[in-house]
Formats: sequence, structure tokens, C-alpha cells
Amino acid sequence: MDLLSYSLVDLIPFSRETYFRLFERYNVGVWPAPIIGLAIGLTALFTARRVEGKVLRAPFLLTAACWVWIGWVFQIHWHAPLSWPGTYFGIGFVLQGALMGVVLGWRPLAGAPEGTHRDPGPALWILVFALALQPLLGLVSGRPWYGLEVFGSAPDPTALATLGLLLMIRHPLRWLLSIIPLAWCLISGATLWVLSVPTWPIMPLAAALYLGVAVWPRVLGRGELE
Amino acid sequence: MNRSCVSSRRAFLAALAVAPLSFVTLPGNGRAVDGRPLAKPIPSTGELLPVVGMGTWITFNVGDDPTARDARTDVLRAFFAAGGGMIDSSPMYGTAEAVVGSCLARLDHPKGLFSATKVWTSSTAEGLEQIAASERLWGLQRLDLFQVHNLLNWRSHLETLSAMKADGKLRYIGITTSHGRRHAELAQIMETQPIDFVQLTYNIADREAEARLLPLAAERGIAVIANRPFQGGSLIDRLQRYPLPGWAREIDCTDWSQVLLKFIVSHPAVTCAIPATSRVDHMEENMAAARGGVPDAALRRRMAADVAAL
Repeated sequence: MDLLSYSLVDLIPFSRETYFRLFERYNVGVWPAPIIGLAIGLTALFTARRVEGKVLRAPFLLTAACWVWIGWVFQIHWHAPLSWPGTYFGIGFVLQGALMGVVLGWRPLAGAPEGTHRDPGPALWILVFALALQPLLGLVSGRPWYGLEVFGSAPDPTALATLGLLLMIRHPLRWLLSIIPLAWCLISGATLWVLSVPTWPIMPLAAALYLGVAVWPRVLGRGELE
Repeated sequence: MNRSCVSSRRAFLAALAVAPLSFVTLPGNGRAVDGRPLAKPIPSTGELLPVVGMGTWITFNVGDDPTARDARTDVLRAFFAAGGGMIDSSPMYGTAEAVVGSCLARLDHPKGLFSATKVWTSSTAEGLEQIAASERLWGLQRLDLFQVHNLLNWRSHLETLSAMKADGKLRYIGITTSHGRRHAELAQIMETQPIDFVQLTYNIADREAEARLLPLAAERGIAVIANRPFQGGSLIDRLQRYPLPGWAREIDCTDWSQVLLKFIVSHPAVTCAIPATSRVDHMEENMAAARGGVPDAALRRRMAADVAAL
């Protein structure tokens, strides 16, 4: 397919109303998965702490499972029928979950160095925002509570929270694990922009914040690029 | 909705009065028929097609949502009640074909439907599967028109579609583009391939097709479907900030959507326009553009100039 002959608008063949209704129908259809996802997110928030230089693997593995769920269930089975790129997004989400499981699951994780901009402030703020504030933005936009996008079952808060978690660790492959969440931030921002959703800048700005926080210590010579 | 009713006789007389050249002497132009909306002939057969059809991009891609499907059924009911004919869709439009099929079934497959869809794949074999899937999704044994979407793998698909047409498995074949893309290649296809329809973007603000493609369509006897009549809604959003010009009354327009549609379908080479909507009131407004007076060439020039100045 000649993708270059298509514009961004061609890739989003649904209206804002249909997109919001997608989450309403999905949340009802997979209930109680959104509640389980939120519980996983809260678990990740309270366990993702550095203890004696180490970070527990559990929140990363739980989040990896959420990526696989979202890829297979939300993207491929719910989103893709409305929009053909959804299948490719689904593959990307499953791949991200598998990568996180393989890369982070087999040895203890080293925490990000003390005294850098990476830890703990921005990471925790991103996590808290993804878990609590971002879903509530939907209410401000007039969406019903059962149509809110929550961590663990919806792509946006899960991608954001993943970036927060990644900021907490020191790992040689952290950059690899950042690619798909960062790409999703841009895709989501572009989708919401085309749909004229006022909150569209949030995901791209979060990606920029992540990159700034991850790269800034290297600029200052206080941390290695990871 | 505040709209004056126009009888077929009045519509016909008004059309003759306002646009005598368009309706009497220029080839390819239409006429009111027995109280039904203005229709134009498909050049390859002479079959009449109502000049306002319906697109399904975005508006009918609502998935399994029962509430949205109910609303779209109401839109289709209004479309057929107003004498609508062509519904255009594509496998690219997500669930739009399935939703159209579901709505048609709920309306007991209304008379007057002219079904148009597309083949949209780079694979020839997959194209055959897509054609079969479209027939199943629409709930029809035979669709009226298959078009090659955005010129994708057009040589192979046109070969397939031509063979199907020869076997009586479809009635018309065509090719599409939008947003003004690949007009040179489209012109080449129009010059060399035996197609019945071409679909392209044409509206009061996007008039590139007037230079080459529309005259070529008239010369080659190819029906023209105009997509994006409102530029995806942005054109009408912009114009609605302004009052209707005085000449709108001369052609029986009560809102901007009718002005825009009448501009398009009054071009001698254009067979029909396919606005998309998810609202019954907008559908009724759109369909009213197929009745009443139609601008002649002088008024068309004035309309384009006035809109460009806004």
C-alpha cells in the first residue's frame, strides 16, 4: 500500500463521538477489566520504589501484561474494526509487552542514580498523572464515567505510566523499551488533534517531558545514556 | 426544518428559467423527473441517477454500536424518503459497509438504491475477497458500481472488474481519487480505460478538476462522482459565519449546504455529489439541493467569486 499517498486524516476514519463511544462500549464489554487494570496500576504506583538501589520487577511485569491485553483485546478486537491501523497498533502493543517481559523480567532492576533529574520526582508525577488525573480529564470533556480511559485497559494512560516507570530504572535497554510508548504518545496526540479533542497536546507533551528528563542528566554530565 | 417545498413542476420550470443553457443544451445535465429529485444520466447507459447521493466516510463507521446504528438507519430512511439513490462506501472506511448493509436490511432494502463501493488493496487476490466481502456486508447479490480506490493497483483491479462486468456480476466500474491527488495519472486512465465512472474531489473551493478532468469526462462519456463537497465539513463551517448571498434565493437555497451542492451538480460534467452526514436534518437539507433552481454558467462564476471573497 502506498502509505505516502495518504494524509493523517485518511488514517482516522471515525468521528470524535465514535471514538469516545468506543471506550464506553469497550469498558462495558470487558468489565471488570478496567477495574482490574486500575488495581494493577495502583499496585505499580506503590511498589515502584527504589529500595537500596533496586526496584521491584513486579510493577514492570504487571504493566507488560497490560500492554499485551491492550494490544490483543482493545487494539485488535475493538479498535481495528473501526480503523485499519489498529491491527498494526495491536502488534506493536503486544510486542512492547513481550519486550518488557523479556528485558526486565529476568534479573533485578537497578534504580536510577540518586541526584539526577530522573528520580524520583518526574517519574512519580507521570505515574500519578497517568493513573489519576488523565482519566478524569475525560469527565471534564463531558464523557460518562464508564467511558473513561484508565490504566491497564486503555492505551494512553498505560503508555504514560510506562514512561514513568522507565524513568525509575537504570538499564542498558531502556531506550529500546521507550520507543513504542513514545510513538504511541505521538499517535494518540495526532488522533486527538484530528478529532479536535482539546486535550490532544497532553500525550506529546508527556513524551517531550520524558525525553527531557531522560536526556537532561547526560547533558549535565551526571548520568549515562540508557 | 424551515424549508419551502418545491413541486416537481415548479422545480422543472425553475430550472429552465434559471439555467436554460445547463438543462436544455449542455450534454450531461439533468432534469426533474416525475416529482423525484433532479437526476442526470450515466453516460455509458443513460440510466438516471439522482444528483445528490450519500458518502459514508467517517459518518457510517460506528462499529456495532446499536445506538449509532439506529441513528444511521434514520439517516438512510430520510435519504430514500427524499428520493436518494447513490450510497458510496469503501473497505477503507472501517465498518461503514457493514453498517450500511445493516441499515438497508432494517429498511427492507428500499427501492432506488444505487450501491457503490470500492476495491482497496494492493493484492489482486485480496481484491477478489474484498469484492465478495462487500457483497456480503451490503447484503446484496450484486452491487451496482465497483471502483478502484485511490488508484491502488488499478491495472489489475480494473482487469478483474471488467471481467466481472462482462459476466454480469456488477453493472459499472470506475476509479477514484480525492483531495486532488494524482490527477495526471487519473487523466491517463480516463483516456485509455473503458470505465463508466470516475470519482474525484470537486467543490466550490477545490476546482482543479475543471481544467482537465471534468472536460475529459464529458468527452469520454464518463460519469463523475464529486466527493468532499464540503471539504470534510470545514468549508461549510467557514461559510456558515456569513449570511446567504442574495442569489441563493434565485436557486431556491435556504442554507449553505444547498448552495455548495448546487454549485457542484450544476457543472455539466458532474453526475452526482456525495455529501456525508450522520444527522437526519442535515440529510434533509442536502437532499433539498436536488430540487428547485440550478445555477447557470454566469451564476456559477459569480458564486465561486463571492465565496472566494469571503
